[in-house]
Amino acid sequence: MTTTHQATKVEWAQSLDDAFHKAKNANKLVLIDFFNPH
Amino acid sequence: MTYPEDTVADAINRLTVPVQYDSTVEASAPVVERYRHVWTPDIRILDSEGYDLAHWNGYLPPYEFVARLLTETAFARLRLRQYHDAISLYEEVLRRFPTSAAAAEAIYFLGVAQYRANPAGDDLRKQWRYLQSRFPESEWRIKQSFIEQ
Repeated sequence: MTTTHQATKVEWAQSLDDAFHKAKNANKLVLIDFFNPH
Repeated sequence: MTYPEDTVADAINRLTVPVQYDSTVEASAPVVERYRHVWTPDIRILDSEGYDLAHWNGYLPPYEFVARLLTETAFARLRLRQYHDAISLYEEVLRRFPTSAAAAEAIYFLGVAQYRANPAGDDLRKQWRYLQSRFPESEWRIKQSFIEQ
């Protein structure tokens, strides 16, 4: 039997408001990543 | 890329609720304007009301990224006067990433957080003396150099 490593993925919120709501409920901070795909 | 690394994803998910904005598309404009974004990569650490508590610009490889993330979330907790949470995060930086670029800053503010938690103690001078010997060339050593005179 082999085991496969399950990579951890960043759990991105859908929007800033979604992130604020989730952060308030979980006593977490919000992280914004502004990125340029080019 | 930094985000596919497990240690990076684990730290982001543990400490924050993350959200991404592509700064080149019109749909991001309201958030870009709200936070006066100017250059990518641009990472902001906010409270749940949207107040910008800590931030940094520029690419960092995984080891440095996690050390910086811990250091900035610690500073955010310090600004929120959650001193024991800040102390725990700064200690994690020094335990897991003792040679990172963020380590000198973590020592500086570990002393500050310990002082705020217990003003009667001697932790501030103890940490700053350690900073003098551990990172004598760092800017954070210069920032406490008035106590050396």
